[in-house]
Amino acid sequence: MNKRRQELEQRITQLERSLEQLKTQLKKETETDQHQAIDQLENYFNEVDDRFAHLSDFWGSMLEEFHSIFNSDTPIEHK
Amino acid sequence: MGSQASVLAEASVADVKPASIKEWFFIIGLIYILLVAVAMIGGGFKAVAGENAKALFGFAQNPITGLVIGTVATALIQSSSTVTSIIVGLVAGGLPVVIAIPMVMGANIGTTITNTIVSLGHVKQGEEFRRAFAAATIHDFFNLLSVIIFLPLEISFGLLDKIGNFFGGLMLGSEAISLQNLNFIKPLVKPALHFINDSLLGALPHLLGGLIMIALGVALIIAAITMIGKVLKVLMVGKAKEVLHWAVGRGPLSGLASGTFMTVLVQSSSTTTSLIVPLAGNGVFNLRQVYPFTLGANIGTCITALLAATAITGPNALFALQIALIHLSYNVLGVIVIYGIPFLRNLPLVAARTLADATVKNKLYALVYILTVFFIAPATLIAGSSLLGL
Repeated sequence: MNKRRQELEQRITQLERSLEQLKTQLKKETETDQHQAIDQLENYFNEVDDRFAHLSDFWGSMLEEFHSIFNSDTPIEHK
Repeated sequence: MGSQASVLAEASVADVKPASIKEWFFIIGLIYILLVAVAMIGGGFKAVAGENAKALFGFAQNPITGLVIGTVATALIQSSSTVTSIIVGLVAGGLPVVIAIPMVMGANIGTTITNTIVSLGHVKQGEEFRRAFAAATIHDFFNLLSVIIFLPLEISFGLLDKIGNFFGGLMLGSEAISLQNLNFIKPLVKPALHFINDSLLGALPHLLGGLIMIALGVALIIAAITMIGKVLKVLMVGKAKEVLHWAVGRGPLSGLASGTFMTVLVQSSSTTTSLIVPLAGNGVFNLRQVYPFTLGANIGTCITALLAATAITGPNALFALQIALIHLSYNVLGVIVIYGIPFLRNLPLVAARTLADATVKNKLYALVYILTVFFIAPATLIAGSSLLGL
């Protein structure tokens, strides 16, 4: 009974260690992605400057949904 | 990870192009124009209203009206720095500080429209849009909650007014930290202001000259802050990257600090809060990481009004400084109270997520939300408070 308990405890320790390693790995990869995205900051500045240029997409999408509300035959498309 | 971060940070620093001296001189010139323009508004109002400035602003005595003016003006101009600088100029011209306080609160709400518009650009990418819209509106909900908490406190107890009095007195009154001895800006601004005063008020009737000064002041503030933002974006992109690289993986306080510092660098909270929208949209940063960063933008944007206040001369200089300090205190208090209390901290998160989920299902929610927060609710509040005789 004691041996069984010891085995379980060992397994739990191993799993906890693996989980910790996975968490560290995930954190590392997430932070690498964040650093890479920050390096593209100029592109995001441009997106801010061109914010009104993309509004037509929003209008189109919204009008489509608005139209579909009053035309029950037309299914609403969720993207 | 720390070493990787520092390597990346060093790489980004190495990428920074040496700033052109010409561009920096251009920035200094624009800041000078901004300071003169703020002082012009004050001078113009004094010329138009004289001692009756308080009566002139009587229409905004209802705090809800002040809040709405600040919100709508900022939503239309899309720059809280511009509106708060104009408010500083108005206070210098005789606008009572108590009337100006709801206006600066409104400026905080109005500025959030910019990043919401940026997030709408992601509308075609479902999940990306959900994340981007939530990242944009978390700033809105935080600023709305801040007004809900602090406006009643201001109306009932004059909380922010008292804070402004305290800090203003401290900065101008105490010999140990007096700004009076350190202020080199006023003497620099005075010659230009005297020249404009003499040219306009000397040559034209007082009323007309004053009105032209106000209009010119407002136009120059808008132009100067827009240009400063554009030039700083180019000059400071390297530093901004450096700040963001530093904040990665360091927790919310670093996020707050980086948001503050980045806003000081680019002199625009809407730029800072809008930049984070695509970064959140593509899933690189999550909503909890974005949240403190946007709050830092609220604090960083106060630098412009503080700078503007240093240009004010005469008996209203203290009040101009007070409103700038109130703006800063309000934003710092907002972060301490709302972000400091877990229950309050979670409200903007939940609201932003819920609205984003609804908006992904039906884009009409986004339109209804924008129209309601920035235009319909303000109009309804004014009508309601007028009916109640507030």
